[in-house]
Amino acid sequence: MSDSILYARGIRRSFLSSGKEIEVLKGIDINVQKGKLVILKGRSGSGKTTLLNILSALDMPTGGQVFFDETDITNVSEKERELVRRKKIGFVFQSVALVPIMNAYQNIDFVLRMAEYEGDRDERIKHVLGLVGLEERMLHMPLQLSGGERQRVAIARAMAHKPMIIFADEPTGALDTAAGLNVMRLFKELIRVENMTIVMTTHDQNLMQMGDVVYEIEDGEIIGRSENTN
Amino acid sequence: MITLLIGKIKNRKLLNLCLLFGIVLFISVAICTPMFEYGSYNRLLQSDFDDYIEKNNREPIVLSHMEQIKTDSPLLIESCMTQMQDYSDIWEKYLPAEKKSTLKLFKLPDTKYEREYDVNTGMVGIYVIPDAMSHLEILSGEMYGENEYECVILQSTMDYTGILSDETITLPNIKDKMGTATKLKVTGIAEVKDVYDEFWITDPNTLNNAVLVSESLLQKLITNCNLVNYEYSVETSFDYRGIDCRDVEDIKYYLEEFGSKDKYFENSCTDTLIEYSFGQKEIEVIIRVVEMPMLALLLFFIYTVTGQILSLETAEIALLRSRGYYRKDIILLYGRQAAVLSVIGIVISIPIGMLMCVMAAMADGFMTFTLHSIASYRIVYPMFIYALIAAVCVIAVMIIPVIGYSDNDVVGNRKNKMGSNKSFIQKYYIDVILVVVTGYLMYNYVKQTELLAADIVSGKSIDGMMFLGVSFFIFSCAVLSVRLTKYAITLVYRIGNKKWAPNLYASFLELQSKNTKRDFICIFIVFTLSSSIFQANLASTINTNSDMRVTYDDGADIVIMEKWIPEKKADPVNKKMVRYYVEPDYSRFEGIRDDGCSMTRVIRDNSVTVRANSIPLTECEEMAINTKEFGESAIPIDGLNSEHYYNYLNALAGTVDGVLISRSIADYTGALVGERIVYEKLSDLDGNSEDNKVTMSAVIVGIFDAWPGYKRYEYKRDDNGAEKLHENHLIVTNYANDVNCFGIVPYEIWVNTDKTKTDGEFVREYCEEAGITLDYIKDAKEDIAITRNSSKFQITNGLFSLEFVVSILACTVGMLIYWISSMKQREMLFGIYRAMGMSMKEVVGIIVNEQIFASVTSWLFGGLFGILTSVFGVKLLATVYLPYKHSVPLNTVIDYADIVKLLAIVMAIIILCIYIMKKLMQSSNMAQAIKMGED
Repeated sequence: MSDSILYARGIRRSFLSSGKEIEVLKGIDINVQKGKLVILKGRSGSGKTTLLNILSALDMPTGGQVFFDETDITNVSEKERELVRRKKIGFVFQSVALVPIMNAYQNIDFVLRMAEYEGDRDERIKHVLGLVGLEERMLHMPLQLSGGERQRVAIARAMAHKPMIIFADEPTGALDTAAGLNVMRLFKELIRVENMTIVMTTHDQNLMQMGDVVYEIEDGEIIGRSENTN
Repeated sequence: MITLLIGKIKNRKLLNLCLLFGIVLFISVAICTPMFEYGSYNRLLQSDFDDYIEKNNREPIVLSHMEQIKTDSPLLIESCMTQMQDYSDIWEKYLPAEKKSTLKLFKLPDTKYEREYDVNTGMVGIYVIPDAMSHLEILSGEMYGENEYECVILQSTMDYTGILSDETITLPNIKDKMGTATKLKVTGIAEVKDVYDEFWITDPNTLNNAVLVSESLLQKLITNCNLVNYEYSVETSFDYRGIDCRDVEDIKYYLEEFGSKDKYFENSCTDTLIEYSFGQKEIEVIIRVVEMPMLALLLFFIYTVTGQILSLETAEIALLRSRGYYRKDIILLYGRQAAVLSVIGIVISIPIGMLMCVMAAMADGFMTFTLHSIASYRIVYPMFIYALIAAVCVIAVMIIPVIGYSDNDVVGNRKNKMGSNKSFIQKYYIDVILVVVTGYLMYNYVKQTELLAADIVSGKSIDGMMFLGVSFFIFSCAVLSVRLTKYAITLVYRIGNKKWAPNLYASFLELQSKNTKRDFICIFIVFTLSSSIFQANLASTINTNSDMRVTYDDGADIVIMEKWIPEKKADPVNKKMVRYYVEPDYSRFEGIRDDGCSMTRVIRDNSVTVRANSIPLTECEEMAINTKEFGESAIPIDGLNSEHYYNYLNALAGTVDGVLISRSIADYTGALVGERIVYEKLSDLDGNSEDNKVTMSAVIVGIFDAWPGYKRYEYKRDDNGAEKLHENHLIVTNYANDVNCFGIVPYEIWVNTDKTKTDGEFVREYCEEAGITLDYIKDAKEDIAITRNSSKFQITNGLFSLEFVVSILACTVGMLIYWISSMKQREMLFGIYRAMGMSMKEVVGIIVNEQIFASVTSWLFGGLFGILTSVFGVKLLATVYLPYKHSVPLNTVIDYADIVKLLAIVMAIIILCIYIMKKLMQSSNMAQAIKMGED
């Protein structure tokens, strides 16, 4: 467990719908190790996004515990959870990837300010944009970028403040296959260069081989775990 | 289609409600206009008639025919009476007014009379006034007998001629065929039964030589004495209260027709109606120019909310287009929505428009309302036409933005969003150009203020562009404020660029981004606040200056003049009876002084001839004063003369035969301080021959520009009806010296009521209790109230108050809609901020910061531009209300208390908006939106 950055035990999550309680997650255990690309796969409605929300301190489980960086984040105040999200976690969202009123540079600057980044922000922004190959387009507004470019900026933003882990929900969902593959290659590159850990969801079978660990979820339960040793 | 329409409206309940709110306000103001115009015109008309009564003490609508005739043979009075009735009947038939009464007078030309016991003779008129006796009461004696050589005289005739009851007068020039002079026995003295009796269109007391006889006697005299010269007059009065402003043109037409067909026709109301027509045009212009910006503001509001709805429905429009809807179908769909809202708007607006009208009618100051009669404000049919026109305007304004949106597809939307970060106005400096152009326009008007005042005085109608120019300037400043706000934001952002917390960083970037709707709201706030401050200052300037002028003209808080009865004495030198005055006991007024007031006697004579440097000036006014008491009692006039007011009084007090002269005399004659002038005036009451004139010499001890009670400038109508400036001259002398030289004459008593409870009512009551009959009383407070009640003042104040209320309502709702919908639109964005770890408090901080830099900056600019426009423009518009040249010059009055009140109201609204938004944010979906997969 020494390499484990995130460990969840017996995660349950249920919602009330039309007066009925629906259990979306039924006691999930998961262990994420540092420097790995972990993929949660499953069909729509399988509960993978709900699990991702709980793992990333965005949502609270109905039962179970989540340990992040050796802290039980299901048992701390909202303020502490905010701090965790702010400094230790990076997010890549599915569609609204970037803040529309900020250009690429400002989007990243915003996250650095959130995380109270202590280094040279300008240098860091240019570095991460360079990593995703968009240094030349840093003053472009989101609407002036293509879908793939926007997602690359979102990834640069997610990693800019050097978080311990990045959560990405369907980061390739809105992209064509080639752009999707580029994003995955970028993730792999980040893990290699920045020693990041990435947890992402996807239902795209073509991308599974690129993950280090793949969890298969169905009806709120993990039905399979596979590791890619290549 | 209907289901879709209802669904669309339901889908955006809040925004559609706000849109309906704007529509209701717009249609209400439109509906209010004809009702307010109608009421204002009627109010003006009635006030003009009331002024006529006040000035002339007689009915304002009297049509008359007065003729002197000479016949070949004696006339039958009855036939003349029938003819008189015919005139009256014709007037009654055509004039759209209700007849009140008809007074017919038939008389013989004035003829000499002789009394039994008095050698003095005079002239009397022998009158027949049908039905007069029912309206007179016999004070002594009895009624004349029919067909008898008897008559009744009025008390005024008795006072004037000295003829007494039971006396027989001889008319030497009315002789029968035998050459015997007619003798009439005065059987009684009569007086008007009721001074308010409508029968007496002409007050019989003004006929101070009238001898009333029966018709049968006069007919007998005419026949027996073969009289062929007569005079007759018929007067018919009409009820002015029933006259409607819409009938004025008809009345003018008929009066002109009567005049063209009857050379002896006269009427008392043409001048009043001309005066009314002039005032009506002025009011029409004022209403139009004050309402226009208000209506434009509301259309702007409707346009903004429609744009807001459309921006939220872009996806729906694209969906409809993809389902095969043509562009015209989309326009039609929104057109129907606009029509439905407009119809609902009309229904709601009718009572609201009427309420607005009532509110405006009750204003007698800016945002000061008094309960008074508003009977002249009635429902008029053009209200419904205006409502329909307003509805059509609303539909058009709502459709205009749809035209653009109806062609939007995804690519088009994106192109729009990718456009320049600067609006067209800012990119091409349209705002700066607008401020320069409108500022120059206003500057030009301000430069011509005196010329414009002269135009208004001479009867030219008000140039509406004067008002609109100011509104345009304020609007341009409001547009410019958007640029200035952006500069301020950029400056603040850059100053702390590296240090800003993430929420402020996001907030500043949002504020710097292009946001047309937020710009609209800022323009709205600045325009509303600036206009309101300007209007409050205009009202304050008009009221304060008018009050100062009225007080200055009166001279003191209260001025009273006791009725003095002259006495007679024989003048052995000239062998005639002369009349003179004996001063009543002045100590009777001490009761007024007991109340703590100071008072003084002031002799005023406006028929003095002044000679300086051998240049004569006739019809000058003299004011003889007790300097010490005058200094305590008159209204001080500091700052209007080159020296302090008290220096003049001291100079006069130090020289018994000293005189202060007005600058007008000095300018006209070239007289200087230290030189001597001579002035002359009548020494007694009888006649104005040179024998009665006494000349005095006096040394000039001071030359003044202004003096309490001295109206240097006066406007008199010339033959063309235009008002021409006339300069009055005044000399001020020592009271004691004046009485010593010219004898005592009736004087005014000037009372200073400062810091006491004394008012006109108290003085009236005091005098009544003390048995003092007053000739007149001038109460500055009452005069101020009368001026403030003038139709033009009240109508303007009403409109300004209405505009303020409407603007504030639209501004509040506009701000709320914008910020709420802006928050709703950014709910997901705030969710992302929250997901990234931003606390709720920090998210609220974003909104607060945006409010500070958008609303609060607009608030500050609103205040700034309001004061700036007031400083430059208030005097210009105040000239419209006080165009006459006056010793007290027109000064801009900026009432900071009013400004603070207005700023506080708007700030309270901003705080309320922030509070509502904070509450909404806390209950929003933002907490849920932070989860991934729900963005």
